[in-house]
This record gives sequence, C-alpha cells and structure tokens, in this order.
Amino acid sequence: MSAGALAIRARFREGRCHHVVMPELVAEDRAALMRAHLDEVGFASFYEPDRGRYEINHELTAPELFEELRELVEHIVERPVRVGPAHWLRLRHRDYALIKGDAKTRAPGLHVEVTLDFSPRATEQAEIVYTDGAEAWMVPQQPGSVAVVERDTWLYRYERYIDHRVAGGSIYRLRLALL
Amino acid sequence: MIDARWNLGELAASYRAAKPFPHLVIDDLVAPDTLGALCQAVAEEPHWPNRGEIYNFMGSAETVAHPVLRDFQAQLAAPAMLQAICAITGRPATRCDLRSYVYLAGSYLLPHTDSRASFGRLVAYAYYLHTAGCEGGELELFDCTMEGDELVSAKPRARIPPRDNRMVMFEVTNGSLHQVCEVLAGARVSLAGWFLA
Repeated sequence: MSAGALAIRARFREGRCHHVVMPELVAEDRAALMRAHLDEVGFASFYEPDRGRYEINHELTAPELFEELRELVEHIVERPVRVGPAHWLRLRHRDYALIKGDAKTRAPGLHVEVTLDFSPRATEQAEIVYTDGAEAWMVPQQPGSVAVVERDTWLYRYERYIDHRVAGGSIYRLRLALL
Repeated sequence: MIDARWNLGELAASYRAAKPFPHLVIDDLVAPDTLGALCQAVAEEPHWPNRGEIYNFMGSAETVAHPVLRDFQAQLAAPAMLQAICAITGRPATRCDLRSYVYLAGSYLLPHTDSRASFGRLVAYAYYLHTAGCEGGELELFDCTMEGDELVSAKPRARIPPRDNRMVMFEVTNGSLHQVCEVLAGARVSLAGWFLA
C-alpha cells in the first residue's frame, strides 16, 4: 500500500468523527457527463421548511460508480462494506438541508456515508456539517472531491444554506451509504 | 411606548384573527428621536458573527450593554407594557429578553418555531430599527399541519417586510414556524427577543 493511501487511512481515523475528504478524485470531464445525465434524467423538488429545500433523485443507479466507491472506502475503513441507499442532489440559491431531515432519512445504525461532489465550480457555500450536538466537523464544497464519513448513531448532518452569491450556479452531489 | 393609539381590544382582535397563527404588526412604535437614539445605540453595541445550522447574522451578546438598549428592554418589561401584551395576546408574561441583530447581505434565519418548553417563551417580538436599502429580510410565517405536538408539513402563508420603527409580535407554540428570509442587499437592523413566563 502506498504512503498516500496509508496517510488517508490515518487521517480518517483521527479524532472522534472518523472522516476524510479526498480532493480532485473525479475529473471535470467525467463530472460534466454526470451533470448532463442527471439534468436529463431530472430531479424532484423537495421543500419541507423545517427539514430542507433541495432537488433530489432517489431512482438513478450507477452500479459501476457505486462499486468504485465501495472499493475505495473498504481500503480506507479496513472492513468489508456493501452498497446501500443512494441519492443525487442538486442545490441552488435558497437551498439547505437540516438535521431534522437527516434524522428522518438517514441509513440506520453504524455505516459509512460517501459524498461525491461533481459540481462545476467551488462556491465556498453549502458546506456539509456533521455534529454530535457539541462539536462539528465540516466538509467543504469542492468539485471532484469525495468525502468519507463514518456515521455512528450520535452523528447528524446538515448542509448550509446557499445564499445569493451562488447566483445561477448549482451544486451537484451523490450521497451513497455503505453498510 | 404605549400611547393613546393603542386600542387594546382592537389589537387583541387583530392578533387573534391573524393567519397562519396569531400575530400583530405595530408601526411607528416610538417617537422619531427615540428611534434615532436606539439606532445610535445599536451602532455602538458590539456585534459578532453568529453562524449555525439555521442562522447566519451578526448579533449582540445575550445581555445588551448599551444603556439606551437596556432602558428600552426595561420599558418592554415594565408592568404597563406586560399588561398590554397580556391583554393583546392572552399570555401572562412577567419579563422579556432582548438582543440586537444586524443582518447584512447573505444573512438569514431558517424556519424554526422558537418553542422550547423549558425557556418559557410566550410571545416572540422583532422591532426593526433600520431597514433603508434592505432587500429581503422579510419575516415569513408558515401554515403548519400538526399531529399532536409534531409538525408534519408546512407551507408559506404570510410575509411581513421589515420597516423602520415597526414591531411584529407572534404567539410561540410548536406550530409557530417562521423564518427571516435572506437579506439580498443592504442591512436589516433589529431588536428581538421574547416575552417570557
């Protein structure tokens, strides 16, 4: 195993919230194809004011991509995992996702959550925040990045509100649970 | 603060009839020179960035320091004012708290109810001091469907624009879902808090 891979494993295990963000894992040309496909397939609008506001697709599957991510994660977490529920998000100005929504929809029990960002640009917004109610761990919005977070039952997630500075831009995310 | 314009019976009727939940808008709350003194006091009060799951704004400390702001809080908590609040809302408040807030472009407060059983919040209020050039920043109230104490769905129902010298108050319950819409330009300067049990 390479020194880089070992360093990623070590970073993942640091601290109380096991997590690591790997930048530039997905090339822009591949991300652009994913965005085009998602835009064509379409999203459903979700707006429950006390839970969140975003566009979501629960239906689309991408077995090869999911398998790539599963293999990657197994090397990081050092245990077998299997592909669980997945969804695709498109976030724009005024969108957000709150802990109350996460509590209702999260995968049960201990699992690994992967977020692949295939947005066209960085916005410095829509950070993903994981929290135990006291401490917080943040995943920045970075195109091409893959975030791997071990979600114990005490760890909840929200995604910060996107304000007018994003203008007409969109943020695209794949979220995959590995059980 | 309370003057001859306050017809408590009419205000109470308006409060009770308001949708989606009881609320009231009172314009021209104080005299212009008092408003000017309050604006100046907020300008002199320290404010810090506050950012969390549902909010992003500049806020004062939980206890304001400026004597003009403390005096204003004392007027809100004076027996005559609390009696008026009770007459309007039916809620027997015994005190109130107060913080000052500065919402600049990009600031927001996402939907929430204010309801915390142990906090004793009976009636929420926001008093706008300075809104010139402010785009956005409306107080939006949601019509909620409840199952017992659980909020199961909500739709936007009323929007109250911020305006200089305007006070808004509303009932705090598990269904009093509301938000401050994002300020898109300018600034929205306010004092806000709760009348408490």
